[in-house]
Amino acid sequence: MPASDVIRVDAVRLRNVRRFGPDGLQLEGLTPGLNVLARPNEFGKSTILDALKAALFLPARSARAKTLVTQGSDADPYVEVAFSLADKSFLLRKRFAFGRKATLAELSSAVLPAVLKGSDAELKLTELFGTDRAEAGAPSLLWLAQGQGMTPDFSDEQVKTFSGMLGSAVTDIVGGDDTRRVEEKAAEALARIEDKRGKPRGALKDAHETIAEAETQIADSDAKLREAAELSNQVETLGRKLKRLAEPDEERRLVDDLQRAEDEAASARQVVERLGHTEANLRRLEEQLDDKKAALTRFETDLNALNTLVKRLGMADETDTDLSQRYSMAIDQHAAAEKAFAQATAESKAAHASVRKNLVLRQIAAAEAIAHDIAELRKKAQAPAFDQKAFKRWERQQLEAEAQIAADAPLVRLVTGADVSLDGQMLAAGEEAAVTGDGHLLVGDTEIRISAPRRGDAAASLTLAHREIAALLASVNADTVEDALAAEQDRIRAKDSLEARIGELRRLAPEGIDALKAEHADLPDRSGENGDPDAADRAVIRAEEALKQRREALIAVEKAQAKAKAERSASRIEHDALVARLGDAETRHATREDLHAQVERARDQIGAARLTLERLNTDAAASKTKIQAAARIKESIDQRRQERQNAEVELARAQATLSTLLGAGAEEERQAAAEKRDAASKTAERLERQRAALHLLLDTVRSEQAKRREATLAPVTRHLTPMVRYLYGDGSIRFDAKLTTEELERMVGTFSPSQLSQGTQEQIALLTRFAFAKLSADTGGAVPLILDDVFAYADDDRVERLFDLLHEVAEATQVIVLTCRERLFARLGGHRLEPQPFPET
Amino acid sequence: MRFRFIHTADWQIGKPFGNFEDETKFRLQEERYAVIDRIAETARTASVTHVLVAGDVFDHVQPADRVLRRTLDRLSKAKDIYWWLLPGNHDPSGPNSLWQRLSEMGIPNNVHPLLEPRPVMVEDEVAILPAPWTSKHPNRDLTAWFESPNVSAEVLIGLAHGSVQGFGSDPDPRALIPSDRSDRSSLAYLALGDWHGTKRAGPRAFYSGTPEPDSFRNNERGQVLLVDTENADAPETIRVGGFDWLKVDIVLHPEQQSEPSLDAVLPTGVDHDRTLLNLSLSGNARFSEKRAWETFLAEQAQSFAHLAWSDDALDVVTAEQDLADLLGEGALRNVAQALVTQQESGNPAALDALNLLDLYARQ
Repeated sequence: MPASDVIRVDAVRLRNVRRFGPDGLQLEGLTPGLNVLARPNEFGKSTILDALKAALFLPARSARAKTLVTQGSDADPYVEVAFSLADKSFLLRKRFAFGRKATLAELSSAVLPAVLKGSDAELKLTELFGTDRAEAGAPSLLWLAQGQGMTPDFSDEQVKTFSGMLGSAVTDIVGGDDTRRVEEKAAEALARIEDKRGKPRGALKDAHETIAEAETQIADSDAKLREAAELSNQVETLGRKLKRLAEPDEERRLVDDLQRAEDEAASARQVVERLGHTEANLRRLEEQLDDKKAALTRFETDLNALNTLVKRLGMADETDTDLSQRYSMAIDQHAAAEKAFAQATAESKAAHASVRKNLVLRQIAAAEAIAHDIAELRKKAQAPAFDQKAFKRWERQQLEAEAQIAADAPLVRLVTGADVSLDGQMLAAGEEAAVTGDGHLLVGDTEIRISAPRRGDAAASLTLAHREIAALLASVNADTVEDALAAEQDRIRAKDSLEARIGELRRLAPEGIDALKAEHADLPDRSGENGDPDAADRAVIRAEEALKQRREALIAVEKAQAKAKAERSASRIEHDALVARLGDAETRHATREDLHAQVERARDQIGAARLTLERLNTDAAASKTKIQAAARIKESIDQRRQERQNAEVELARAQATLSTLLGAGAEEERQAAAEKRDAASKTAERLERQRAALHLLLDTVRSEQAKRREATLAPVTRHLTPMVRYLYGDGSIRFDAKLTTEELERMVGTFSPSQLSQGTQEQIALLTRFAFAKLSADTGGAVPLILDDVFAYADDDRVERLFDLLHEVAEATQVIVLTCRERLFARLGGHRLEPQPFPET
Repeated sequence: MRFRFIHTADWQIGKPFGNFEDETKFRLQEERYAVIDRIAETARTASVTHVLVAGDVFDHVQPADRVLRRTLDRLSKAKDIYWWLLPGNHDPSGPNSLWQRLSEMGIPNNVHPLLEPRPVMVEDEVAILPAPWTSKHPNRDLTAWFESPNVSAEVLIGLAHGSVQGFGSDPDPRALIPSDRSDRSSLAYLALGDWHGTKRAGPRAFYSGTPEPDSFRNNERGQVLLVDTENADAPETIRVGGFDWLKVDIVLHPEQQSEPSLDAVLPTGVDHDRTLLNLSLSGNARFSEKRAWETFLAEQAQSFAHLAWSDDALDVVTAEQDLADLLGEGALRNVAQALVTQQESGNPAALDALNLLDLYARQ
């Protein structure tokens, strides 16, 4: 059972509070243990908690209570809370009228000497609940509104309340100001020399960098020093080389050698020179020989050309004669062909005329027969026409009149008896007849006339039709309509034939039969020798072809003559030119002989020159060796001088480089860098020592803080640990300085909150509250643990276990659970609250 | 015949001092040029015209051009002084050596490099016998030729650089000089270089020491010798150094706790701005005392040209009371106690951590 000094709520009543409006709501008979109000969302469970907080902690005049007003109502929110403390009952009544007269705050109890009102009541509440605000004191820790279950952080006031429960100083939990200050300063100092990942920064990093830079500088200086040493060696080597090259005795010896060689070379050079001349002479003679040979060849070519031309001119004369003969023959042949062609043409003409004459005669006979037919047909066509249109009209009128008469005719029926006739037609008994005629009914002797008075017009129309038809037939001399129609057809046919025949005649004799007759008379009568015109025509074509060939032959001969004439004239010009150049035959012979003689002479000279050359060559081989020896000596001297010059240049360059290198003071640089490195190393060493010291200090301070916190929180953990184990089977919870769960230690590992599921986070937060509730019951001054829909993430199984724990908490202090999970909570036990209306009575 | 001159050596111009912070480094570098002026002034005051530099004029075999140039400039400025420069182990002569570079730059008339081992007449009847280094490792007695110098002069002054036999604990074997060189060669005086403190090396043989100190070795330096051949065994020391380099040990005793102070260890009237101090704390100290010294020295460091200290040899005693004084009884006390435990179990970072804890707790 709860401790006796635990406050418990017995009843809550409210009216004109938010959705509950004037009907109000009351929760009666809350038990000291676990109470459950299970209602769906939107029932107003949170309103109940808000109303409770307002009633207990908001001054009745407070404007903050306006949030309680029912929407659209101006009624003042009214709340009653019945609660007890150590078996003493209190009743709190509050009406939030915001300063108006109706404002009410009243606390009554048998233990009070009188009913406390207004601020007296509120002061007493503060005293009883240990706080004047819901955000502070035990309610702030134990009254969890919807969504607060997850809130991990505690406010300073909550921490204060909490440490109050523990009877300890706040600093025991969050760490003393001193330790915090030391921790902060150490962390600050550490942050100056190492970053979050533990890498050096700031002065430490600088020191390391300085060391690296100095090492680089040292390496650089070493390289320079090595280079300088190498250069120095090089300078020495070059100096020795120069000394050797500048050795005067050696130089003098070489110059003497050269002098001697040059002397020998001088005479040798004369031989060589002569050899050169002879060679040049030989080359010139050979060129001359070539020239002579070319002149001779040219001359002989000209001679050959001249001979060819002479021959060609002779041949041209012969051709001329031949062509003249061919020309007169071609003229004759052409004339004969022309004559043959004229004859064939005349014969063809005669054959064609004879054929024509017979044709014309046959045309005349045909034309005359047609003319006769035309006369006959014209007569038939000129017979009178039968007006078929008029006939059709009158025939229709006749039929209509007859139909009219028949339709209008009265009927006569012989019922019994015999010997009755109508218009001459006998009627049998039972027979019926229409009176279409005159209507003479004879019954025996009795004559009866039946008249049809309205028949007059139809009869007249019929008569007129008969008359007109008769007149039409008479006009064509026909007795019957059939005759008239046949005659009309004959007439039309004759008219058509007439036109056809006229057309035929026009084709046969377009200019009339007389014109045909005249043509016939004009054509020659050659009945005796009537040839085949086609054969005659073929003869004409053959003659024409022969004539064409002859003409072409004639033209060919003419062209040949013209060409031959031109060629001969060209050959003549060429011939005359050659003769003019080469002279007459005698001259030409002399020239040829002379050219031959010149070639021979040149050949002799060349032979002589070659002999000389051979002889000189033998002498020159020795001379050349002497000259080369002199040149070799000279080259060697030049080379030596060049080498010396190069060495001088190289030495100067090496010395310049060396001097630059030495001038830079690499040695000093190196020493400076080495000293700098040593100094930086010392600094780095010092800072590393400091870093280690800071780490040690921080670890020690933090571990001290944790130790103290753990000791302080022991009363909480005493309650919490069994609950954690009940829920998870194992584990314990460690808190950090802000009372935030720092770690959940389980057998499977240690977890920081961010590694936990939201469900687990929520559950741990709740367990913490459970532990607070138990702790507050232990220490006195407890208020009920109120949970408003805080199981947002827990599954049913976990909620059941949490509920088991709540039952345990309820042993120590009152627990009120507001939940929307009706079905689940139906089987979890606890006292079920059944809200009732609370209207004004 | 009496001959008076200034004997100096080991100028080591161009020494980089790279292990000092930039400002100090530049000041020390500059001072090595400035001391030339002071030596010249000293000579004038003593009415002598010859300054003999016994080797190691320059710090390096091949100094930078500007180092050579600036040195020549300083020397030529003192036109009234004859400068006799001897190559030493730091700056040996030879082909392509700095001495050749100097002559290419143009050596002023009053400056005389002594590159050859042969007598040089500096005045009537006064000859200098130089023993120049021509390489880094001569491995012989460069003064051997002094025994038959082939010179006719009344006064012979030996000028040499290197260790003297039987002198010092760790002689440089590269060019050992016999300790009785003056007697053996009938020298009026043997001017020696190499040893950075002023020191007698034998009869009428002295090391002048460096005119401008360059280390914390506690010996006589920062001076030149004014030599008079008539009293060659007692040359006059004249101070010319610009900076003082002091090495000081302070031994702490926890039972004699007192305010940190340098008064007891520094010479009176010391110019902080021209003093480089290397201080070593040793003995035993309570934690609070050590902290007090650190705070004090951090302040002092601002007025010295350079102040470095080491407490490696100092044993820190962390007394219960000390901790209580520093940190009260709260959580920090527990932290401190934990660190003390760490320290006692040999964690080298623990003492530093305690230091920092104290520092932060007080701030």
